[in-house]
Amino acid sequence: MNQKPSKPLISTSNLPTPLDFKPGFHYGNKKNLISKNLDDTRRISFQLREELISTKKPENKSIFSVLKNVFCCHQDRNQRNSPKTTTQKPYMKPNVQQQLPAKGSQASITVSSGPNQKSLEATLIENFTQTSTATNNQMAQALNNKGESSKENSSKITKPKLLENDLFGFPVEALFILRKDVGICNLLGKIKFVDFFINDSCANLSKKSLSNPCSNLHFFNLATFEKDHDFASFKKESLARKVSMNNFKELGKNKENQDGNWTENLKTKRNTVVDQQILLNFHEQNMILDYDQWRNVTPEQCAKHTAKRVRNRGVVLDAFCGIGGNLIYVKNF
Amino acid sequence: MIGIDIQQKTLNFAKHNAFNRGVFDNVHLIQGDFAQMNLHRINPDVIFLNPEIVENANKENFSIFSDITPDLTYALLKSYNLCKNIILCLPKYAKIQEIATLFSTIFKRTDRFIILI
Repeated sequence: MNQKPSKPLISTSNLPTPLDFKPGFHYGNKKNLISKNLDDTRRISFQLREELISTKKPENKSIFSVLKNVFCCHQDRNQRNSPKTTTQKPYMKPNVQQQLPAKGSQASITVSSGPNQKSLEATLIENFTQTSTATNNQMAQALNNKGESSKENSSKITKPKLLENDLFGFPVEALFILRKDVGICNLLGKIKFVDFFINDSCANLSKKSLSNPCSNLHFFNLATFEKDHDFASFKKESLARKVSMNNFKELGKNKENQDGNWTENLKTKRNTVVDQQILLNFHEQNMILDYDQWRNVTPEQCAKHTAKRVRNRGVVLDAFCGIGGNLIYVKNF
Repeated sequence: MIGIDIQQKTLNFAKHNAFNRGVFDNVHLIQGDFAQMNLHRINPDVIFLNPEIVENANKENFSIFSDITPDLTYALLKSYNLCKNIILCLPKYAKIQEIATLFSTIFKRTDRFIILI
């Protein structure tokens, strides 16, 4: 079964170049962006961007082809603390804070995850706990059961201060979403493509302002987006849909195979995952994963490349096969 | 095609994944520790090695010898004794100097080891 390379879903000629958007967006000015002292959460997106730009062919120069997976626009730090940002509506619903678990339970996550990534994960955990409304209580119960011993250390950790609007460490106001495209943001489940625009002027954007908008491309303000979709239920549906595709229930009947919270661990430890998650297209392949194997599976392109070399070579032994990422491609070729 | 892994859970996943692809013929999955198994009867032609990386490994301070389980030198030695075609997958942020030291140690040992045999 030879898999064809995924076609670009969008014809690149019709799409707007970054200059077609209004000024004030920070498109592609690497020097201005990288010279700042970026946080670790932001730094990864820039590394990805550079890699993607370097690997792609010069034919596809438009942003949506090059940055198919991730594109983040970051705000200046000076603007971030400015009073203009107060006009932004919070991403979460106002009742969420009442539903949040106690602070000790959140901080216990950082201890269990390890001392090296305290500051980074503490930011992410807070962000995800703000966004995920319904799953908070489940996470808290699960983590309290695991990390009762680690509560003593939790009081020592000081939380980093963040704005309420922060989802990835910076305030967010709008989203671009491509439905069919495969990309990084499996956090959001069905939403595979996300652009974050952080300027106030993006509220004035609409489909009309874009020249020749694509059918796959949708524009949302967050205020309208929350009304249309309950965000927590939206994630649940998408997860359930994946699970049904993989026939995960049959395996999940045994308690050994049922690792409860690996999807939620993905959310908290997203940054470690991001690098491989580009290279893998598990959504197309209908593969089952665990979190520990998600990190360690060989990426798809490497597996294909090695499988071509190994074809017709007799007995092949995979010493640490894991899920069988290499194993599948060797048989295919 | 032979796959070895310690955990039975991951082998179940592998079985399921191979089944979806229609690849399940001539695939044998074995549970066991690679370091402790006697594989001389199999006479493999190619060996894949992509050992696990520890969860909390920093990319900046990443080292092959400490952040990878099981011990990479021993696994590479054992696989080198089985066959000479080895495919080793390392993360891209692995340091080149450490890779050089790894191969230097292995080839020294193998020279001694071959002489003893």
